[in-house]
Amino acid sequence: MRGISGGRRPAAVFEVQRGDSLVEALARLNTLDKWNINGLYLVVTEEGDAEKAHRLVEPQLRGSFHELMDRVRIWTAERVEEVRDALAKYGDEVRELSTLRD
Amino acid sequence: MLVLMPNCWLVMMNEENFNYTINHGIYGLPGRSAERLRALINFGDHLLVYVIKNGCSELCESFAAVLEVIGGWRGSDKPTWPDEVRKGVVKYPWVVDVKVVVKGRVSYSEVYTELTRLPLEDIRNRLLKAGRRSGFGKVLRKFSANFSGKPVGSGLCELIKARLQSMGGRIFSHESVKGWLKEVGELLGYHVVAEYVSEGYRFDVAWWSSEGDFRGEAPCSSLRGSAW
Repeated sequence: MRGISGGRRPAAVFEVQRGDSLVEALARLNTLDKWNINGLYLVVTEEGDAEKAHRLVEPQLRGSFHELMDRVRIWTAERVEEVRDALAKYGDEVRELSTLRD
Repeated sequence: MLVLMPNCWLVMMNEENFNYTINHGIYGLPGRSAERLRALINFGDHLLVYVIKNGCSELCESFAAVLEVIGGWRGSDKPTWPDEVRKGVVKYPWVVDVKVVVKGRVSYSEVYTELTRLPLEDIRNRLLKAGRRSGFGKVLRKFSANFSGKPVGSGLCELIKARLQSMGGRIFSHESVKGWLKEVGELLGYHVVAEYVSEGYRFDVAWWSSEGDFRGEAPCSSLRGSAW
């Protein structure tokens, strides 16, 4: 499927919350909803606990951004860092394995 | 023996001065109110720090730390904080050593509901009037030590302290998180673009299956035109 800005649609788009920018970040992700992108991610930076991060975003997803309710995945910044650290630890092996696909 | 509970004072500063305060463990009272406040803010008192919008980058309009006063006030006769050094003047003539009780970032919107429930009539009424999204800095300024000359209630301090503690004292900068997402995408073999612009918006990080997918097989100027 041809997507945004002339290329094919991206596999994933990440919006990182900056300060008091939750609504703006969700609004940007909402504009991409029509492209049926597999991964729409909102990374919450001001809440370390995943459950609390969900609670922080949920009122917006129940209201103005209800189309994103089942589409957007909410991660904490801490989780991003942990995934980075885990992958970086085995960087060479991960790179090798990721080149096997066609 | 009479044990006095420490007071909690709301102080507001720009992000650059906040970083200096954290890194050097000192806080300075602004000139106009310094004489009055140094007699009121005592050893052991807490300072609840709110970072103002002006010149901010990561901590805009957020509660960023609770500090504890760990010394006595002393005069400062040379520019110390970044805004003093830039102008070559002393804006904070009385300084005190502080230690960080907890730091992090709690934005106003995150605690709006709790703030309106605190038994602080003035704050509640003003917040409800200001609404969720605007004017908070101005509302809050009225309760700052500099403006009111009074400590804030312990309810406000405890609420923010608890929220900051729940973050484990960590501040994740926007740029760091974007950098990690870029690294993860590249490690997994995606074509990664930071600050990707489309649909008239700038997205933090996007991953494509390949660079070819990102570029597309042929230009699609009509779509691009419609998107801007």
